Amino acid sequence: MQLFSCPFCGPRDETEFTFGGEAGKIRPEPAPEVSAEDWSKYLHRVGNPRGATSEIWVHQTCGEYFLMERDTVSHVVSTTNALRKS
Amino acid sequence: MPDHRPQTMLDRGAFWTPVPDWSTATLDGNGWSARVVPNLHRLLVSGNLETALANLAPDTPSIGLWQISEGNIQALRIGRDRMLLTSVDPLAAEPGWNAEGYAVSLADDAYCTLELQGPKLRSLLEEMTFVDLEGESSSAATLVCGQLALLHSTADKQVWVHVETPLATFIWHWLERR
Ligand SMILES: [Zn+2]
Repeated sequence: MQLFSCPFCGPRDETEFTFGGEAGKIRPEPAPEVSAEDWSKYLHRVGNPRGATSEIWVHQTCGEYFLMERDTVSHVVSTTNALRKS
Repeated sequence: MPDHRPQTMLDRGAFWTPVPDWSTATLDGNGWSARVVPNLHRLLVSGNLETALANLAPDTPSIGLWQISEGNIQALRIGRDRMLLTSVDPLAAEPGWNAEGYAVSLADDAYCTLELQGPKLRSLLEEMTFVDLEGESSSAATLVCGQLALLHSTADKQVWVHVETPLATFIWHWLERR
């Protein structure tokens, strides 16, 4: 089983975590002016890179959302960082 | 002609797993025993935990995974800004938002606390959870029997497992069938 490191809890088993999405996606605003194509692009188009990637993950047991830098080929996690400063 | 219509409504009462009588339920395994800790008072606190703890339960340490919490009040850390306070006597707290930056919810019956103890506690726990107990995690929250729970010690070879009340029945039956 792979270990991920929650910025608050430290290393925990992967079963405690859920993928939250690709990092850096910005929700298009204002909603009434966003075309169906742009919504679709925002919701469904992902980079899905081979190699280094930045993702948002959630540690389900503590509720922390954080940024994870990992490699989609080797599965090596390089960093995990809290999304807030305090 | 026979009447095939049901005589009563379908009884779904027997569909659910029976809930033990927590006031008397005990289990004696091979080298471990289990019971429910009765009559604990509980508060869920979110926000500025340092201030909340200073106001509600001064000098009570924040308890993470596997850490020992002795005494009549436990400040169990769930996440960065969330904790469950359990106490033998009710704590003086106003439910709702506090201007000093935290929110309090009464949670007396929302959780159930199982006490497990005995010389073979460790091997029992190794079946109940994957987590590294020596990992010195700041949060007491982990998965126990696959369910969200708070896990900490109260003495040598004795732990408390706090789960949302409906899940206690599942964990109890898991222990019965072990
Ligand atoms: Zn965490």
